[in-house]
Amino acid sequence: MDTATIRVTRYRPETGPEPFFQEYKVPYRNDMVVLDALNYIKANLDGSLTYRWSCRMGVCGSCGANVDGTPKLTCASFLHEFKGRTINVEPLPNFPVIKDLVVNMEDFMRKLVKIKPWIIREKETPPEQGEYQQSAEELERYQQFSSCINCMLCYSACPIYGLNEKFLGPAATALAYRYIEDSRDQGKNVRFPIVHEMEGVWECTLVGECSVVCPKGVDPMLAIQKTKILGATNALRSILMPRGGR
Amino acid sequence: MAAGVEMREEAPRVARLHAILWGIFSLGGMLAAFLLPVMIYLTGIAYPLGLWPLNGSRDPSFLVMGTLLGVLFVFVTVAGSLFHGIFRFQSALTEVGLLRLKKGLEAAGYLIIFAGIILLAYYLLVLNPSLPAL
Repeated sequence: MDTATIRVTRYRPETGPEPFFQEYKVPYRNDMVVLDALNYIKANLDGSLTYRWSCRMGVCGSCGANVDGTPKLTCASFLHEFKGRTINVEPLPNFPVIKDLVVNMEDFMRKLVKIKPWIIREKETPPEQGEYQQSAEELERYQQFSSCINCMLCYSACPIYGLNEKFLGPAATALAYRYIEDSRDQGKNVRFPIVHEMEGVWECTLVGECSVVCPKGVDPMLAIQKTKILGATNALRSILMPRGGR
Repeated sequence: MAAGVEMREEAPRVARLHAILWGIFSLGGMLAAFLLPVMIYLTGIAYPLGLWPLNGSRDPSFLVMGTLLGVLFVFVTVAGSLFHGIFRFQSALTEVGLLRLKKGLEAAGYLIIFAGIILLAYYLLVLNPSLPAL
């Protein structure tokens, strides 16, 4: 077995105000990922190491960390990819750290609720009347945006969110756009004002790192651009057709 | 509406003016990307060097500067590109973290760009020797 050197950020507010790095040597096989190394450290070397994880298969979105300077899911980062190098594992940037690798997700959770990530109907119909039907083409229009696992890697990679935490951000916009494009949803009038606030999509400067780091292949930058086009069209319509425009 | 979800957010304010400015920026970007290189090639490279499609032909600037439609084309292309530039400059200020200086630099940038656009319009409509008297 090879040995990996892992430098993990430690932050224990009860013992010291500043975060510091702690180095561990972890034996590994080729099929082991950074999360396995963290679990090894916790089980065998240092039980006080604190981090989030759950599914270990890239679905739950809990185990995000800054691995070697890039926001990644630790369950999807293989140790052998860093062979011969020290692997730095830090908490996700742009979020306040609670302890070690655990960050405060409250701001993100508030934004998720804000965009109302559920199907809004003008009038609900009882289940006996059947499903709200949708064609394959209609599904395709929003499907990629529904793959978001709320791992927050895109927020960590976004320099604009780092500068202005009021910015709605990539994942929340992608999810809002997912419902805006859903043919079963009738909540455009509710969501448009939220995404078209100054701190909605307009703060985005098209850096595009959100789409680069997404582990599920979602393209939040595309969602933001499409939402901007809808915003500009609506604004123009409201001027040209003040009675009929939105 | 999901029951039990607390909603204490302030009522959102749609940034309508910014949306329209973004629309112009986006149109300006398209013009800058598609039309400006063509114009630069035709008037700045192809004509002076005698390259295709202007080998042996007369000064192509007359074609656009000599008619009102041509003048409009030049105005939209150059003004659109300038506007795209200043809008992108705003974004660059945010990206490099110059948030404290942003408002002042933005104001200076817009002043320069709008002065440039007015000068452009003045040249095209008043000083342009190729344009027939209106």
